[in-house]
Amino acid sequence: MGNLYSVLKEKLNTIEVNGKKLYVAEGDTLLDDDQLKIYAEVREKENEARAAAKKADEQGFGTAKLEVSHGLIAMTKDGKVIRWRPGTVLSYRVVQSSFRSQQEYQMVVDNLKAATGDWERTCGVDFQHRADLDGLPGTDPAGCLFVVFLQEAGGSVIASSFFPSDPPDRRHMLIDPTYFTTSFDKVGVLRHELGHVLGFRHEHIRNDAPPVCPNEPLWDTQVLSVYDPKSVMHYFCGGVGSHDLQITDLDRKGARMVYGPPLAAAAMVE
Amino acid sequence: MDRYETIIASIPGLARKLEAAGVDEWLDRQRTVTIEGQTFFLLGDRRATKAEAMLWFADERGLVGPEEMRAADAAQPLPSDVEGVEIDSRKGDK
Repeated sequence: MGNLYSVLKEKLNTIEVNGKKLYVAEGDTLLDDDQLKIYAEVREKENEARAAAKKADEQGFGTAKLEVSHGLIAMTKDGKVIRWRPGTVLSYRVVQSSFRSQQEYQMVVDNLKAATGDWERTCGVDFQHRADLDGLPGTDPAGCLFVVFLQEAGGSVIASSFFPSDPPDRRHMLIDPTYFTTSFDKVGVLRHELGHVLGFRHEHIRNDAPPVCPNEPLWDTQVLSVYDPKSVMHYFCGGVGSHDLQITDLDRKGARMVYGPPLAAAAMVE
Repeated sequence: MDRYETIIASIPGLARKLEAAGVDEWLDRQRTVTIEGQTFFLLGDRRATKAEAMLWFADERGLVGPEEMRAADAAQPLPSDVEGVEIDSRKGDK
């Protein structure tokens, strides 16, 4: 077994689920010891392949992909891309009583403000935080389009959201307690989850992504731009992706195909 | 019956294939979260109902083809504030 296994075993965070120690890889992937060995082995082989390709490039006999591969992936239904109807205000409330402290609640409120603002500057969507409803008990949306709350998920996810096609009673954004300790950019995690809210699927499920990245069904998807390993919708897997989960130029291009330019920009033109 | 239960029911023989392929044992191994009394399966950061999780399994094992899934899904209604639009991704930015 290579050195990476030992390094990961020492460095990765661990959680205990049903009495079993699990390693948390790539933010939201849980691995037992056997899986960690395989994971490390695959990563080492990929790193070796990348190093060999780089060396070949440096010696002038590298290869280049000539075909255009296809970035942001949208959900589809009956061949059409699914989106919120124009004019829909994506209102939300953050259930204050679900958080363990005022600081945690405030962090999520502030980070959601930053993340929703990033999407509003990217394409024609309008989020609205109904802070006046945050103090209501329970997880009912209370008239908002979706509701955000802390939910213990055993560390198996940092956060989890929903798609536009999900029924209205499933419009929940869950924040796991690990959100507050993750090494990923916390605003970035919410940018990613809000990307799902807008109907965008994971970037790493495309054929161009490293094989070690998790697969998902592709039957209800449409690619919107070229594969983007730095996409906000890409997990950190197989040595690609990013910890800050920024909205890239390709993400912007794809999002504008679905939602048009930012509403503030459109208002200025009018 | 949710959208995904309807899809499973509308694809002939799929329920039987799922059972034969060991979907129940696979479901037992998945992580779950319970929200307002409803159990969801955590597939990456996706919270899936049992039927949706079963369709992921069916896709992964090749028990159903993409065309069959699309045809079965086409009849399912979208929420009233959501729409489907035709987008030609070859045309680029709007």
